[in-house]
Amino acid sequence: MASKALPARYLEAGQDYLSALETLGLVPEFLGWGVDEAHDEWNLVLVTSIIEIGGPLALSKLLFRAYNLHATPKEISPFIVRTFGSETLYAPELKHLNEVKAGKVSVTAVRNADGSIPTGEKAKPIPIQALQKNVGGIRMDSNYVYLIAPRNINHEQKTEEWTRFKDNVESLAA
Amino acid sequence: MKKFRLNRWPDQHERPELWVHNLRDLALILGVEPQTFVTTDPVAPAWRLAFTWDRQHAYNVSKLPSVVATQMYEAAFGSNGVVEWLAKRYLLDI
Repeated sequence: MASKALPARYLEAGQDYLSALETLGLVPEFLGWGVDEAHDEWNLVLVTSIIEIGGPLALSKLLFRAYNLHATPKEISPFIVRTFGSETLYAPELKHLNEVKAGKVSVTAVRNADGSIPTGEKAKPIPIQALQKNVGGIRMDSNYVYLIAPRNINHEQKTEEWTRFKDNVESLAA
Repeated sequence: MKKFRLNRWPDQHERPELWVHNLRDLALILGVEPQTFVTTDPVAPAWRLAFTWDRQHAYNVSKLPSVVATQMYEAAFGSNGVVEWLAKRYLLDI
């Protein structure tokens, strides 16, 4: 399937969103754009383990507060930010997009059109440049991924990160 | 039912769009949609969760963290939850 082009305003704003989150103390394990196929809408997918400490509603409140106080880019309403915890079924799926970025995925021709076995140049693996993957109804595109950095942190470290992010957002000047 | 002045819930053949599990699509029937919902509204964080709720839940049944379950419930039935917001606007006074 042909890749849908991400609007330029989102491409830049997504990078700014990542910087804003990091400034506020949230280091995502994954951040990238995908298309919500049911609504044909671009969503910014954020994976963070702190959702499993603070909870999805508390995180949602902080994302709205940060947005309303202009600490995150105005182009990215929290309504188009999809958050998943690192313990969800989707998080491991998203990790596979990293293999494309690292050049680990390639395709090899199995048969020629006439049924014969490919030889020579045709038999060599071709590195995949981009990959699309449907994760939870969102078609992710490896071209629009900013960060894939799964971390193995313990409960205490997750709690520290949650507290840091929460305190930083709550202390934003209204 | 209040919005459309219905005296009974339509069956699946009459209004198939009311018989779906996609909360965002159901909200749209009421005229509630993420593109126009005011982000400073105290119910916005709860609506955000409702809009993205997935029937195919993102967690294994055995691994759903309790804080996630508790806050999903709160987003629906808490003081700034979606259900109370809907009830205030659309609950029939019988």
